[in-house]
Amino acid sequence: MRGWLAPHGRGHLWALIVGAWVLSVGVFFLLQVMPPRWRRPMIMLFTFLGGCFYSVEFFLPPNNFLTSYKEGFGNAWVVMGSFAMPLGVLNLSLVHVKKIATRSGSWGGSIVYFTAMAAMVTFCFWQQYWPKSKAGGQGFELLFQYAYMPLGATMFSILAFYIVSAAYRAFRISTAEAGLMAAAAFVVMLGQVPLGMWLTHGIPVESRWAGLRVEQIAHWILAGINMAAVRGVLFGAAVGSLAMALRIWLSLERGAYFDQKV
Amino acid sequence: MFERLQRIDRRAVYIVLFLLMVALLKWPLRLPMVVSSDARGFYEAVERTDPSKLVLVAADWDAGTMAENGTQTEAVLRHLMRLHRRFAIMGFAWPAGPELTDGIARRLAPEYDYEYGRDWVNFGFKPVLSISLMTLVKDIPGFYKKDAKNTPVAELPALEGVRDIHDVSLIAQFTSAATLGSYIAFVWGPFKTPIVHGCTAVIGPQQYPYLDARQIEGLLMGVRGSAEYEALIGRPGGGTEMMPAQSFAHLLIIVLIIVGNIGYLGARGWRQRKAGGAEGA
Repeated sequence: MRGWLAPHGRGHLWALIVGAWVLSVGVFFLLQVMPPRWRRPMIMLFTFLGGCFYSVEFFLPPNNFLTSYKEGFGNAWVVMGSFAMPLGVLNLSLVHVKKIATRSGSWGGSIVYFTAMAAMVTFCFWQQYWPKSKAGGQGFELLFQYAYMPLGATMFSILAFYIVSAAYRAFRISTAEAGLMAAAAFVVMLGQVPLGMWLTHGIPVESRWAGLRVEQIAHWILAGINMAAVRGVLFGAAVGSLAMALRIWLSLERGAYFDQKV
Repeated sequence: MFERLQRIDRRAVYIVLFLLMVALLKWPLRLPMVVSSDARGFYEAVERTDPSKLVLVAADWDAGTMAENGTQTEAVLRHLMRLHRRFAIMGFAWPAGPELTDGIARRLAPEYDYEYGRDWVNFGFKPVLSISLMTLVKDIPGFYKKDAKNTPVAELPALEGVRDIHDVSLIAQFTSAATLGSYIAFVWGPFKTPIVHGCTAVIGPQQYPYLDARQIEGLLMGVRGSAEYEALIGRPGGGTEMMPAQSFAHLLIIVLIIVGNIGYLGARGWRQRKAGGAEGA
């Protein structure tokens, strides 16, 4: 079975792709038209079996009878993850189509969205499938190197301005706890930068007072107090994730059957 | 007056910050830089790598965090090239990460006589981190089959003798997202492959439990991490250049918080005195 699924030649590969696509659409269609009393146990069964695979494989001794199927399961997961991408594009496009059709809000931005997407997709495929074409490579370079990257960096760097403004307007030391938090924040902020290090650079690194250097106090706050708090949060989140995973695995989560509204 | 201290126009704050940044990036000051034990651990882990094995560089970042992750990656790639280590670039969190890292490698390559395919490869981006890692550790060439430019793995000399995670001496992960947990769970846990981590400053404090438990050998946090690594390899770069600007931005935040709170506490005291005076009358 696994040998047959490995593609032998271009024709076989295309047959497998089309076959998998038809099967997926068929299963999805079947689930849509199926009455809820059938749909529910079907989804429960597949969810449970899917969850069983990884847990049984993990808890059994290494290289057990399930291990050889891990790669196939992993690939299936990657394929399913990739489905999220066109789904996201589709959702976003629908929102923008609606905006343009009704001329609502900033519909000019929606036109920019479609133009940018079309340009990026075109040049991306162009340089990927016709690598010898200079125009494709240059177009992609222009969009990626000189538009996408600076835009991404700009978006993130704007945060610096908001953070400074928000810290000034919102950080009010109204209680002793807030005062403690402010003191810790000042020390950590100064300890992260050379200016803060310069403030206590007179204390030799090797001396018994080295622990009083700003960067040392900042490190102690991060690696001691902060670490203990983060570890506590992580433990709590892990227990919560386990409970959530169990609920999903056993199909106890609301809206897991396509027939309940979340 | 106290009310006014609390209501400085935000546009004035933006302009002061902008001018401060531009001036200090243009005319950087020389300030002392103390290297932390976290960065030193990272450096020593890279130094300890086995020359016969591969180093995996996980580029789980995007253009938005290039100032932090980009400079960290550049400093570490420079170190790897100086040590003549083979490395492979991969990414699971952001599609652009491996491309950006490959761009850095290509820029540094002539300086160290590095050649794509012979000394390093770019596997590109794959979605679904945890499942990808579970498959990758068992069979690296089987998982990737081809590099980002569709060259079969068998035709890439850099991957000669590389079968699974046992042929990897170090994973250097750079990220702007909380993705380290998956590497710990699926790589460090079962195989004890050494991991070093470079992250943005905002998620840095979350990584200390892993560092404390020795699940990661070293940590580079934000631009400071880049500057520390550049100091360790003796080659100042983007991180070192940005540190004075960041220093004064931090100072500006502290000054503004103090000013705002002088206004707040002063106004509160004044109101209390006024209320006390009214009651007394």
